Amino acid sequence: MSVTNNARGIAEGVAFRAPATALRVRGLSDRAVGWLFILPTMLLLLAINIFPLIWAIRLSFTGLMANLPTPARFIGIDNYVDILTDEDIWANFQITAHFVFWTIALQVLVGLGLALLINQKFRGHSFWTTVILLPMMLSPAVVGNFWTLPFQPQIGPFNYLIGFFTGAAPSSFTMIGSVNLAPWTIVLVNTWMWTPYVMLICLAGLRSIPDYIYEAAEVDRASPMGQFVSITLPMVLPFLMLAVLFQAIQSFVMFDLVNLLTSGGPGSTTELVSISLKRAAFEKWETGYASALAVILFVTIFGAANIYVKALNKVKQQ
Amino acid sequence: MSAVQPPRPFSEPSPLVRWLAGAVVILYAIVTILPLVWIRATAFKSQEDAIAYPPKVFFKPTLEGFVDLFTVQTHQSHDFIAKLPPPQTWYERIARDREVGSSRPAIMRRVVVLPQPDGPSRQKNSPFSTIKFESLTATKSPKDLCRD
Repeated sequence: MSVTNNARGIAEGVAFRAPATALRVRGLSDRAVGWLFILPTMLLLLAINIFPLIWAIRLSFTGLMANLPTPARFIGIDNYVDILTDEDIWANFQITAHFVFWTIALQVLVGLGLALLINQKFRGHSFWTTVILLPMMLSPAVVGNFWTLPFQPQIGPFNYLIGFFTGAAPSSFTMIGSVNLAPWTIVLVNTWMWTPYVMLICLAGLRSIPDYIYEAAEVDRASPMGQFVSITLPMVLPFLMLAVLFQAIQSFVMFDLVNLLTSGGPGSTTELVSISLKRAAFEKWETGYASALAVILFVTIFGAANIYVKALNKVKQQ
Repeated sequence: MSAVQPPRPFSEPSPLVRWLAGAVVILYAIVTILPLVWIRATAFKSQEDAIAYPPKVFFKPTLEGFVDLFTVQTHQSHDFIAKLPPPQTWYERIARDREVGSSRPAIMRRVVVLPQPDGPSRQKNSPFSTIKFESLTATKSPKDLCRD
């Protein structure tokens, strides 16, 4: 037995070593081959991720306007001072916070609820899960574009239905054009689109809870409510928090959907930070200023995400 | 450890709970899918049906939206179209039918001629040229169909 094992070990060793020696003949060490495989990815990442980031940080200290031929002039931290003392930008951050908070709240509420219901495994639950997932599979640009049709005050079916059920005239309100409603419209559409995502992750979490824990709880006469609070919730929480992290980042930098749906209007009531960033960069052409805003946005998200991940790890360890 | 799984008498939800859960999930799925179904249906509506009020649930499906999207059409006078030979292809017929045969006000009447010798060219024709909603600050009446 040990002889055969030895023989196999030798055979394996040979089999593993053979390609390496073959390459070494051509003058490449294992390490070099490894580098050769990683290099294209690293170069690509450097070129399209790292380099623009560093370039933007550099530009953020200049007063460059990309549509003017004048060279960039170094102006120190003036851009940052301008942004942080600008009340409009703070208003935009407030709008973004409103958007992120309500999006996440609704998504978690509806997503977790749906996941719990689907986990009851009623007949045909997998088919309806697929149906619910459909909005998530669309491109945000498509979603932003087509939702303008239901919200059309004169002919939109959404307005018609609301009017039908409440008795109000359908053209008496505009979801996209009204100052009061527009911030809620973007929350509604974003929730419609991304609730399935939260639901999916929660469902994965629920499925990962082994049945025997519930059985043990049953034996110990734990009430259904008690089971939910002390088994289901703690075991789903890491998954839920992960979904919240993804969705928070995604909503914080949300651009495409909202830009196509309301493009920041009416006035600037739905102007998320990313939209004011685009306005500064490609409408006012204040490239330096926009770069500074982008850096601030990046640092905010990066910092918040890091703190959050630390909390997540703590929850996971429990 | 037994090979046969126990029937799990404990954590199994009751039929009523199961039924209720199913009803709620199916209701949500239908509500969430409605906008998608509506958009898909609008693709097969005629221009009049697409902007009809109240919104039409039942309608006669047509391919004119797709004909608009994939062919290049030019506006011609009514006399010009009358002199043309009968339409050669199905898409030509759709395009002419709706522009000549529709009962819209006279100023709205437009005649469409597809390019004659080579059939549709590959020129880009914006799909949103007919209906473009601008409901941000200024509202445009949706019945205002004048193109160009």
